Amino acid sequence: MNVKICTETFESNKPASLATYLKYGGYEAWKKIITEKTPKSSIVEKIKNSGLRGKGGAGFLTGLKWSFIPLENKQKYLVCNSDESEPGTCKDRDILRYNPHSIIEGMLIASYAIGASVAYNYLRGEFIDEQKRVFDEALKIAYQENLVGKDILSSSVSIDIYSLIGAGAYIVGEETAMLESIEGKRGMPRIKPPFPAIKGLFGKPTIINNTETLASVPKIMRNEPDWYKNIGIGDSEGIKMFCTSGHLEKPGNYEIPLGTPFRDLLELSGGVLNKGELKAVIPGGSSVPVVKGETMLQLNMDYESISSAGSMLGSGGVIVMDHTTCMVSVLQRISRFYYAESCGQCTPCREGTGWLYKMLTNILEGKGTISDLDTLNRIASQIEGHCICALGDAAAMPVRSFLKNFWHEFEYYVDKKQSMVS
Amino acid sequence: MKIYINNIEYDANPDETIIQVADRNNIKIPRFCYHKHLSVVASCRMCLVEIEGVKFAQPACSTPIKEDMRISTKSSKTKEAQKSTMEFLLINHPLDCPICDQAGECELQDVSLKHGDDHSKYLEFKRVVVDKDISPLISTEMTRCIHCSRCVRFGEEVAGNKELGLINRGEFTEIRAFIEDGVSSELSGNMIDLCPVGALNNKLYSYKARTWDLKQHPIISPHDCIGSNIFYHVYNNEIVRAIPKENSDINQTWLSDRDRFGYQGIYSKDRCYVSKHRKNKTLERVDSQDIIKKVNNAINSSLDKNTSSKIGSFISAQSTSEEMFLFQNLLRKLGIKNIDHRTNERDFDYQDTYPLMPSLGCNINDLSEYDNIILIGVNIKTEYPILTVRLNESVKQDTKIYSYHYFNMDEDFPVEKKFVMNNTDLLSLFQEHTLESCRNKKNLLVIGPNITYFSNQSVFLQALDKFAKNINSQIGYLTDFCNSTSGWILGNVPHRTIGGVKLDNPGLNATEMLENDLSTLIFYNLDPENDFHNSSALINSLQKSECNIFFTSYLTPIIEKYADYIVPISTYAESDGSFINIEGRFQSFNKVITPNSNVIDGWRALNELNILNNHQAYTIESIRSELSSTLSKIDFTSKILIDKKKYELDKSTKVHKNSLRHIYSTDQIVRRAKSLNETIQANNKSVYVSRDIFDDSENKKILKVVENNRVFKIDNFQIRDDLPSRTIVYSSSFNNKFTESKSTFVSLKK
Repeated sequence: MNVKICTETFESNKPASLATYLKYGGYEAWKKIITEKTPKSSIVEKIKNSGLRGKGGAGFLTGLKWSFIPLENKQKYLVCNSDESEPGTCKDRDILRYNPHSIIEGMLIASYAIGASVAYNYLRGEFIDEQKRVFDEALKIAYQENLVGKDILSSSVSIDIYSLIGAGAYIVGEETAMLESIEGKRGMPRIKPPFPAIKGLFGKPTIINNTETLASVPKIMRNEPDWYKNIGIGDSEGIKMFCTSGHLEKPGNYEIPLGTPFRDLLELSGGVLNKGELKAVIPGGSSVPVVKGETMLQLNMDYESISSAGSMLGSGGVIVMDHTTCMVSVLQRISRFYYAESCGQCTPCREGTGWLYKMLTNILEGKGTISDLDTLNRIASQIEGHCICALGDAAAMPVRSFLKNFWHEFEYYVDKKQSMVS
Repeated sequence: MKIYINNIEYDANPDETIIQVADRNNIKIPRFCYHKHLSVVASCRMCLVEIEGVKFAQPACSTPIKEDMRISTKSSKTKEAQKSTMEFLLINHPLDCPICDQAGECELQDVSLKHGDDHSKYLEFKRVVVDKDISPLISTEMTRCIHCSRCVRFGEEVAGNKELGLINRGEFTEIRAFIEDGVSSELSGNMIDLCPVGALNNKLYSYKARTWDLKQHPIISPHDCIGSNIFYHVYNNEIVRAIPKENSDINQTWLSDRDRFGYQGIYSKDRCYVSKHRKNKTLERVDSQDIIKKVNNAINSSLDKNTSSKIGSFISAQSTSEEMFLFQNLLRKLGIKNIDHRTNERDFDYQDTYPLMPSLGCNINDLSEYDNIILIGVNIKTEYPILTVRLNESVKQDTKIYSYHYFNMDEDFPVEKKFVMNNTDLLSLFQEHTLESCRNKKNLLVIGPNITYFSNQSVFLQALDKFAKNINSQIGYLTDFCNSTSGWILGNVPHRTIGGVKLDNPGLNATEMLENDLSTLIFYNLDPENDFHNSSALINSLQKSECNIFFTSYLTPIIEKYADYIVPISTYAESDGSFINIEGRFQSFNKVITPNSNVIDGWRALNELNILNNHQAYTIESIRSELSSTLSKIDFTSKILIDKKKYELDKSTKVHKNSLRHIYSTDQIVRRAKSLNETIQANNKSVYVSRDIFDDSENKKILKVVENNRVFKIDNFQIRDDLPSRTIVYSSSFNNKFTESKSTFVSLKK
């Protein structure tokens, strides 16, 4: 089955233009909703039935999330999370520049369904040059066509969309930190509960969805929920973009049904670079546990299959490593990222991420001891589950999984003071 | 709702968090970032506790309770989680306890002793943070900071003035003032208490003593009429620092900087340590045993020579209630009626209609119950900084605050509307003014001390009474000294005796005493340079008087020039005493330090004089019991009818001259507190002139002001466009260059 949702327009001549989007049935769902005045609850119900799950990393059921919003007639907000910063992930970047209208339509439908009159699209700081420009241009045209704004197509529905740009902090991708940032504060995650659906942006009920999630909404609305549900292979429902990177012949964004065997994705990506040997795969962005190559070849690209191997589907950032990769070096680099990106709020993450990075650097410089490996494991477990947001866990999980899966390589390094692969 | 902590059942309210239930039941949970008066951030992760059915230990400070929740503060999961947080907190902490002032009372030290490990696996370099000089009151050692952010939240939420914030990320997070700014809040010292480690320290206390060698003594603030409760910490008979004594009715857990650092004034080089008597125009030292006798002889010979009406007496309202009681007791028994404590005032026509004692009109705790609080001539931020906390609380509970003043000043709480007008315009405004938004609401009108300085105070009070009636508001007062209440109720006014009993033949008031060429003047605890409405009038009468007796803690140039007798008396901390705060709360305290042996306890000196005149001798206990029986008999609810006398509205086009009550110049102790007078606020000693006055003046460099037929030159002034018309304002009444009235009408000389 060769279904495309978010990547539908990618191959077109002018992918970001309104004409292209209309050609693929764009804004049909939105126009239908506002002319028919579709009840909000039936939209939520439809998304719920489709089995659409959040594409940002956690994989939470989108329809269920929308249903948490209080029904009373109060100010509410929708936020589109385009702060795509997870290392290994580059899907939202392409949706923003090649299919921006799908995001706008998705934001409109979602805002309508939850009763929000204002929606924000928060883009990561690095998107300032291209993605922000393309999205803003598309938004401008949508405003001109009165698809967004006041009294949309004389339906008396009014929804405003604003785009915002971050300043380059990874942590702002965490939804409550993003809310802080939109409010003009320091981007630090909030304590939950209260959850944003109850008390979010400016203290008002807020739904935050990933870019890909929202971009998937219009097409689901155009078709029936079962259509989306049936795309997946086996028990997995729906479709997902995977960003393959690393030692591959053809790394890139591939939108494939959930449940597709990893082998197929590897094949789509042209196979391992120079016909090398597959050593390890990080299947869902740098925060998730690493999986050994041979295990990965047995897995399918869906939530259940990946988690059976002790990892997560995450954001869909598939990082492939071949036999020339030094795992100590990779882990040190990953740890440096979390060390640099910790917001500094919670003690375990603020102090622990630095400690992990410094120990790994010592090992890499040949100053490590075998007991350091135990200490690394211990520090990681002390961070895990003890912080306000998931960044602490994200820093801890790679450390524990790398040590678990490649202990011999770390042992070799501290013993011989050099890499096993060089 | 019921929850179980360590398998014991506890009652809890559904909106509580685990730590609140634990604290109430005295179950110890370690914490750093949590503070009961600050918002919850749950960032230190020290209070992690095991909850049955939850995979990871959860922060007790932010986790709301649920029915039948089972929490363990002692299980191995709890212990492991807390130990691991402790390990993280210590890896970058310098552990320099031997040279840290916080050692011995450090929360990090205490918690690590109980919950930490005795060694560390961390072998990397520790983080070092460059210090910033943020204030003359707070020293910093930011390498010790554990980023609990209590100081940041205090500034934002309690003091209403966010001056510290977090910058940078992760391990490089720093608590810092904005760019190169410092901390200037009038409540900044509280950050020292809040800091759980030795990052923010008391600069005055730096390396003075170790905490475990200190003795703690309770005392009441002598700097404002709020009566904050303080603990003085004493080392070798020297006060080395002050911390708040928690009193949920008054200052809660906070102290203003003035109350915290004001004690430095006790150690001023101006202190008067010897008794003196003027012989042949020079002051000679007298044995402290003899000075009281000499003073007694002087008063009695003056009484023999003249009538008692030729003797005038002034007492500072910063004196203790015991001193005020004995002062008027002595003088009235000697037949002297000219007694007054209102040395800063000019106009006394109002006095017969004034309440028995000034009062806020409500308890401080009840301020948030008002819909509107209307401030008249008072700047809470600089005059009553501790009330900023309460008004911030009130505003959060939807109280609206209005301010009427002749000077535009910032407040650290949101002000609904500010009216900045000169005396004359305010006066005409109040005749007809009705604040529409205050109709049919619960209102409190608070009259500040700046009003009492007005040379037309009586007219003003009557206009305010009318305004209050128009909007159906209660009236409350804030006074300029900590014990003005006692000044009134204990009979230190010419027209009423103790208990506020009206006198048929009143004595002379403070102004009349200076205008009536008296032969003997007695000053108790007053700073002649600054504590009088018009110091040139004072000097004039000192020159004419035959005998000037000063009971004083400080020597000033005027005292040294004109005194015939100087009795060195104790300051508030060197003697037992009591103050009645503006709510009417009688608060007593005991001597904290023993002064120089030549210094005489104030009340003992007065008691001695009573004994020498064969009057009843008192002890501190007998005074207090007499005071409490007097106070218990008074019906404070009785309203005094406002005199219907019509006042002429002064419509002259004269210029209004006013001086502000400068935060660190309000009383003679704080004026001499060295560190407070190094702060940014203290540096502001300017003269402000309204734009129209400047435009009218021909000479743009020097303004000439005519007051009481004398010409004064103002050469260093600032023009302020936000000043009401025809106004000159002195930013500080503590300004030796300008010695005429604090508040009056003047004219300009072209």
